[in-house]
Amino acid sequence: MSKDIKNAIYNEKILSGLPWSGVIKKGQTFRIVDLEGCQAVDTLFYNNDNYSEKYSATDTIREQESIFITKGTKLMSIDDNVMMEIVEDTCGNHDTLGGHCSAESNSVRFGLDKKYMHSCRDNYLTLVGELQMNPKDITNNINFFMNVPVEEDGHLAIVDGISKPGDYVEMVAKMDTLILISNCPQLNNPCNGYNPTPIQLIIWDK
Amino acid sequence: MRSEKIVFNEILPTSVKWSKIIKRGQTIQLKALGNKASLSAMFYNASNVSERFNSADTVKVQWNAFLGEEKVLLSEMGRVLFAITKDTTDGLLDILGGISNDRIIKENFGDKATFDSCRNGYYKSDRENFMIELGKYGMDKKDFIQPLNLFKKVDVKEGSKLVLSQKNAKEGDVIELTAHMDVLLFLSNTPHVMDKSGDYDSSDIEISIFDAIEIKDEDYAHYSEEAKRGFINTNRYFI
Repeated sequence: MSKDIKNAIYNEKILSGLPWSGVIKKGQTFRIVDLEGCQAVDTLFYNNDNYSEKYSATDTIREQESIFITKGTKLMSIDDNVMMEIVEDTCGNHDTLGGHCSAESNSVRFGLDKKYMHSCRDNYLTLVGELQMNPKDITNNINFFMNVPVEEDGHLAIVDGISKPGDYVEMVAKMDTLILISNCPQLNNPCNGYNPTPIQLIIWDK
Repeated sequence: MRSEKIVFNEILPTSVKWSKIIKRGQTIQLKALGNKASLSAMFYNASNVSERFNSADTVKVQWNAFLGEEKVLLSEMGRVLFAITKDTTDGLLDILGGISNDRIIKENFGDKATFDSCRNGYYKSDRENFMIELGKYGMDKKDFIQPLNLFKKVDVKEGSKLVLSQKNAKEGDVIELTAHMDVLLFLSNTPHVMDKSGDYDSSDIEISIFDAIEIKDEDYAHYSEEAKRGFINTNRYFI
């Protein structure tokens, strides 16, 4: 089936700061569109038949010998299986190291008074609770459209994004995959250009 | 600062696994007894193992993908599990490489060294080691975290490429971790997951635990502002 938008089986806009979950069946294609540019999309992946098989950042970056996610990247699970493969990427590089924001890490990073702001971890805990998963299932996620360069001395910073309005990343499921997304609400650093914005999520059948 | 009194001492041979609760105020010293030391670690709040080491928060908060002396190892609750209080390896620590599994061990070291062929000298993977040791505490695969590797380092070349550094710890090098919470620590003594030398011979490690001392803020006055806020969060937990 052609990847025309009118053939999509799912096509929804997700406002900034919201959680989202969905199952991408084996062979289906999933596209995340950064509608206005520079929006971090914190994303986790699970085997839909067994949530204890989760995405592994270290297995993914070690096997491809690169810290960034881009076209051709195979997203690996902790059980050494390919969960999804990135097949299109109009942006370039996506972060694997920064993880997701939380009330608690905000308090350490930005000041003890930043504890009560909305966060990706709150979104993940909401989803994990609603789906009756285990909070331990939460792990280091991918941040699509987030720009975290690493220098030779290891210096790492979340800097201004490089994604333009309408940039997208597209992946094909290699197993039935549960995806959890937090459309990042962080206001304290440039990960969202200090202005979190909506994304579009699209699924095509195989 | 730490006590000089050693309350626990054990040698961890190559390929084996180990676990213990390191109490708040105690310091665990890991000493390389050869020139090929390589350990992997997973660690948790011993009172609530759903609070775990979070490598992403640890590097993001401290602005560096590499770790070393005067860095802290954070949980996802914004608290300090361990402070790295001594590191004579000059930063041979790694949160990028992850752990070995059975496939990788066979690829890197061959498939000949089974229990059947060489008894207890068989080539164990980190995955096997952690699965077994976590199981003893009622923990399982759900508790697997992105680990900390010690005595080896993965470099990031040209902004993205992952390469295992050829720098090795020297015999006698030590890394000391001071516990700021009661920490349930798991160790696996195997070659680094990216070690393709073909020799499965990670050095023995001497583990020493120094007696608990009272944690004083002034001992950490030279740490980063972010680390200090982590200490404040940690101290509040114990009120």
